[in-house]
Amino acid sequence: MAQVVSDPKANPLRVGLRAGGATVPAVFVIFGATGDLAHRKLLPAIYNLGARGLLPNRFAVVGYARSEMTDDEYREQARASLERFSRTRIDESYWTAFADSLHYVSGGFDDQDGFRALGERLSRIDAGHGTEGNRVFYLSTPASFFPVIVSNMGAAGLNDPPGFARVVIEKPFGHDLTTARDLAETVHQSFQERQIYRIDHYLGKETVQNIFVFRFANAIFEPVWTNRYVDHVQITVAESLGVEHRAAFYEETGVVRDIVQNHLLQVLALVAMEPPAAFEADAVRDEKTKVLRATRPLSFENTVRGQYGKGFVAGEESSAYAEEEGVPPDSNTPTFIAARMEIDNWRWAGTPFYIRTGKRMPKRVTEVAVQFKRVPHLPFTMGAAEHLEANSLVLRIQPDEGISLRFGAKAPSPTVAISTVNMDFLYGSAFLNDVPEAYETLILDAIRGDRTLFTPQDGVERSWEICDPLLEQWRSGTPQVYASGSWGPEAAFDLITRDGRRWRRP
Amino acid sequence: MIANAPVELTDLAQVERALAAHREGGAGAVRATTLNLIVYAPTAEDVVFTQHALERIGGSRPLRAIVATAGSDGVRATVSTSCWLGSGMQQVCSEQIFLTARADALPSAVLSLLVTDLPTFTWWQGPIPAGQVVLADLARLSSSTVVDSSVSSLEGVAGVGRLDSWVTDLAWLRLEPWREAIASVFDPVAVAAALDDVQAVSVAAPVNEARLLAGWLCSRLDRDVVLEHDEDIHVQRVAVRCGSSEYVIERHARDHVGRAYGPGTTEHPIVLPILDPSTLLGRALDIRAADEVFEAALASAVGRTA
Repeated sequence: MAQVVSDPKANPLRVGLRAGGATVPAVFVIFGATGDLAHRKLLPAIYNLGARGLLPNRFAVVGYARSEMTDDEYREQARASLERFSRTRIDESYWTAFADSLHYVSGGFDDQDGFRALGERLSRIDAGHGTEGNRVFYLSTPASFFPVIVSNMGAAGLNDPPGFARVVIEKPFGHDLTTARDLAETVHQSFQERQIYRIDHYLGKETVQNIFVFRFANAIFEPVWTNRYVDHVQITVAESLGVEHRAAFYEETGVVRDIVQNHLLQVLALVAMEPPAAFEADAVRDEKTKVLRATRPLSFENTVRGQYGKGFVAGEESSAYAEEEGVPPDSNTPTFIAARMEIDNWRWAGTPFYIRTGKRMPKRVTEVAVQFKRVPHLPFTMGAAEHLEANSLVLRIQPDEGISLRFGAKAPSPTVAISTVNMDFLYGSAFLNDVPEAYETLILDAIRGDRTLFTPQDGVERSWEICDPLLEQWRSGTPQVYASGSWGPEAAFDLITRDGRRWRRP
Repeated sequence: MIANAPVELTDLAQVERALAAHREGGAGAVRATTLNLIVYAPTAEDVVFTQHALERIGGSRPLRAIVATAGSDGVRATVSTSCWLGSGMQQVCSEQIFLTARADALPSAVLSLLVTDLPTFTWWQGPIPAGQVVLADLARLSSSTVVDSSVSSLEGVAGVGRLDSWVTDLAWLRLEPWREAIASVFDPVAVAAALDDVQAVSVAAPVNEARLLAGWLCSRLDRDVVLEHDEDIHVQRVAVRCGSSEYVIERHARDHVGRAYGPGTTEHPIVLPILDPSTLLGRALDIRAADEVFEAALASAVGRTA
């Protein structure tokens, strides 16, 4: 197979072109091609990338699943999914080319003949589409299928095509440290670490990536981003919904595995990491892993767990978790956690990070609040600054992404009277652009071979090391019930007030 | 889009106050503005065209547009604000100042209305006349001058490039999907070797776009490339001849998707989006540094005859 270049030295016409798109031909293989994720997210994301001209010109998609289906039937299914779930309308002239690039192979995940058939089909597609033997495999299946799929890919030689092979796997990356290592060992039997793309769609969100830009593209914030000036940091990831139809999954998972081990620790790492030398995969991932290594494991004494009870959310009456369909009445699965975390490094020693996340909170909000220390000396009378609060900087991730800075200002008066004011900036008031879906960003990165936003194995393992001790301690005891529509159990408030601080009300 | 009623003023000192009043009337006391856009609109038709373009791009790039028209009377300004609602009910607002003044007074009037210390672009509509003093004066206020060589001469565009700001050519931006398509044909190593044998390029397109494409090939490959040109109202076909081989990118009519083929490469579809003037202008406003590839292509194209 011909080697393909997108290097300006080899092809001088490339200079200045396609800064954002992928140029190297490839086949994108979806295992679990008939599943919910493939139809809701993957196919619309791939279509939108192609319609924006961001996919390689020589590109094909192959769906693999158990159902018997022809290429044309799969194309019809894909078309229906795009009509329902794509964020843009179907462009008929592009659809024809896109449909031609869609193929389907029927086979089970434990069916070695099916994998061999897939391999043969991929070779024919290379010849027809000029895709040069390059493969991106996306495991859009429940995690329990990962080992058998990866093992059969290895047995069929799919891990060693004429070009490159990359495998994208969705969280959860294990159930704890032991199973995460077991999964990695299985995947490493067929793929090297540099070929593995562990996707956490949260990191593909523009808003999460903005934390990185905010910190490292602005000179004025970073100098005060230390324990010298920051009193504490609060990270809130609140959902107003309950478990809905995911009770069986949630019973196995709980709030720590669902949110803390992945999304929340990733946000914490972005907020607390040292500046990397470059916005490149190894540099960014190393710095994130380093700060997680300095993060103390969650401890029973510094956490509060809760489970939502009955209540009202936004005026709607809500049932208790234990009454949800599929949840045992005596379930002790936590749906809420508040925790005090500490990072033992030069920058953050002595500055706690308070985190809280839960279901059936008063509203859906994700934010990072950096609470600064008070000025060392106020040269005003007590009366003048009686209600003056310390500065705070809030990074709102969702909804209404933006930045809010709280500071003191002189209120109009013949005497000195200081009021606290908020200066709000909404990203949406500066950029009303068409925001790409997280999956578009991450799929394009996987095709381009950019691993910056994907989680490395050492990061996954460190996240489990932080969470595992608490999960072990929580095997006994029961969570405190909090009313749906509240910010968690009373003990969560005690957790922070005992340090002389208080939770923000987002 | 929500637009405030325009306010007509004869004293430019009142402009900021009028815009502030608009903000307090609905757009909030805090504004986000990312750039100044000076538009030279010599005719009433140009003003209308500019209004349409601003309606298309203002929602994604909050800006202050100063639309300048030369007149014979004193200074007059019509001030308005347009806001677009995003998800979450945030508003993106742009300000428009339609300014009329004597030609020699326009640059100083514009200068007094620029938002301080923001990137500033001048969009020059229409042909570029030789020795145009107003253009030179406006370019001096800007970091970038946006022109369109499809309605002007390449020599005129090159002349703008010698002024104080860098130049962005909308015709060059219109060619980007084609340049991407041509480059992609030569990505495979086996085909890339053919770049050493490029002798001629046959282009069915408007003449200046054909010259720019040929200039681009010459400058990138550092060799002379013969241009064979067939006039068309849009770029429809490009064939690069390398020795006895020919690599072709073509599309039918105004389809968004064309095809590419040639020896050693599999025929494949190519996305060739048709970019309207507003989209091109929006892209021009996203460019924040001189485009050296364009400058080299333009230098090579100037003087070349089709």
